Amino acid sequence: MGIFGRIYEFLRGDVRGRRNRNLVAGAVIVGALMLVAVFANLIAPRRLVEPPPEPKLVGPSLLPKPRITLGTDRLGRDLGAMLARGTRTSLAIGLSAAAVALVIGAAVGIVSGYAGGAVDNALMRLMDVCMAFPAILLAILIVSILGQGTAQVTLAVGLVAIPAFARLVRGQALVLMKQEFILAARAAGVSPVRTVFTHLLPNCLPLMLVQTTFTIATAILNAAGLSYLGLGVRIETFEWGAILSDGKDRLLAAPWIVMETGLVILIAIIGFNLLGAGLRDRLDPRMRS
Amino acid sequence: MVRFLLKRFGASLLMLVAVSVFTSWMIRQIPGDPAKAIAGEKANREAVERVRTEYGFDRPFVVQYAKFAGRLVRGDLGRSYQTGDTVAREIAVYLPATIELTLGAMLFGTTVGVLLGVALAYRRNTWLDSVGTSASLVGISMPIFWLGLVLMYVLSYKLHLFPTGGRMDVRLDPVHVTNFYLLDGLITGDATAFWDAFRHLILPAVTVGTIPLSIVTLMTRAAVIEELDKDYVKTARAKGLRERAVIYRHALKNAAVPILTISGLETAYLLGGAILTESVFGFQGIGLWLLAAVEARDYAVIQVGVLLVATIFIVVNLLTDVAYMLVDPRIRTERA
Repeated sequence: MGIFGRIYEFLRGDVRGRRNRNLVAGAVIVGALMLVAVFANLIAPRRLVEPPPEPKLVGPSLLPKPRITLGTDRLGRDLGAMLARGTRTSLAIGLSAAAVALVIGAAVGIVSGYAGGAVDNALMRLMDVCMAFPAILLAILIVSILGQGTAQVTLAVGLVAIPAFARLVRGQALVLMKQEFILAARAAGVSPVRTVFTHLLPNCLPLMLVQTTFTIATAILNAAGLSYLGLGVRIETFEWGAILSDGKDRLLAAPWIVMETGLVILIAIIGFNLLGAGLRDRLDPRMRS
Repeated sequence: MVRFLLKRFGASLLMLVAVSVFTSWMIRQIPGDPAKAIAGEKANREAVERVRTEYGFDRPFVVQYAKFAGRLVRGDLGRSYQTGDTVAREIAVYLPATIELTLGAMLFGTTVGVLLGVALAYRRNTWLDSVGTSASLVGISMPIFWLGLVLMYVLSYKLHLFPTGGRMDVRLDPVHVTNFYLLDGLITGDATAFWDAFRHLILPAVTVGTIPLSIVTLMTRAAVIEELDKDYVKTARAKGLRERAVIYRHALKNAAVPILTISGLETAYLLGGAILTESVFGFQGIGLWLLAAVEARDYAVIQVGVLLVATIFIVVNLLTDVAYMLVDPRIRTERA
């Protein structure tokens, strides 16, 4: 069976005797966004995202004549093309931020769960302290330390996602540590590093995959929120939140900028959330029929 | 139970100390020279240095923190470098706004959410259930700054149903006793001011409350469905109780703990949402105050403001734990 056959089988798998509609819908939305992100420069060639010499504010039109368009922004640039390029930026931020949270969060969670005792206590209290702040507030503080820009924003929204990740993985690791195969491995003298990599980590993978998917959604949302507040990605970079933030001052003259951009963000977040929920159902053995 | 409460209270206090250390440390990582910020751009080097020694910015972190904590314990929150006003006075102005906003959002989210959740559970697997569940999923995924703009555009600008922002019509100039505008309206008996403040509060509160509303709806639905399958519900039905009584007096009561847990956890969302929403609606609360302070590098305000938000969060969590015990006798005996 080829890779596509496997993906098809995976998507079709039943959960509690029912089709996993969440997984399919999420995969379709996220898949479509990924395609737009990869081919952003083809879909949105440079001439469309550069301001024309005589800027005109044009509303969206669904009629083929003169042409189907999502309208323009205040500088006369094609909003559809800007959003396509924004897809690339926003997804890149979401994926990289989730990667940051995954690597650090999983490491903290595994160490905490494996070591237990004082190490566990210290690490978890540290996570508690971080979780006493609303994520967006912590992200605001981090960008005011790091400065504005795509990389800084990515790091900020990634760092604030660590505590939730660490807690989740630690919980799973604690459960696993009490199970017989791990006790057996430790009794047989398998080194801690080996136990972690051959027993603990593989059994945490499904959970980590689900959490990563949800984290991508919140990271995109938080990054857009930072840009909305004018603290995130600079306006010259096409990013969903930055486009929306730029359009909010023209809410009355050009409402389509805010409406369409927000709708794109909403659909993307729904996509990742559906994918996460679908994966959770699919990967949890208790849910299988 | 008293022992548990004391333990929980002590843990919260320790947490607050840790949070304050963490905040102070974070604030000092923000680039820029606080001494220069206070002295002003035109100040010469001597003036800047004088400010530095005066405020103790040249001392090690531990000393600075100890000084800050010492003043904090005595109730001295410092002064805003921007306005020269005491931070305590500024909090008295801005905090009531945020509390009104989050309480309004919470009230909206939990009451509507519980009612909706019960309705969906009662009609599970019907079209109404599918619509409600899907709508909740959309709600959970909502970029709330966008939701705020959409509500404002449609309901305020187009349909003129609500004011477009702020906390109160600038033409009104009522007496502010507590700075809780709704409460002030009641105390002074000024119906116009009360009604105006209420109208200004609705859209922001709905905006902040949408994500909690969706989560509470889904949680209530799941929890009630689980209870409806249990034997005691069958007994209640068998003895001829009306369905309404079965659901509200029996099933919902037992489903209360998971619903409470979620409502407590929502505080973080509410406070985070408040920062964004205040910015959308120009609602002068802690969120806008903090954002302005971050922009102006007003360290005194940022430090106390961030600590304040974290304190609210910790206190609400503590209260949620207490609420558990009041609601569920099982937890009361288990932990005591």
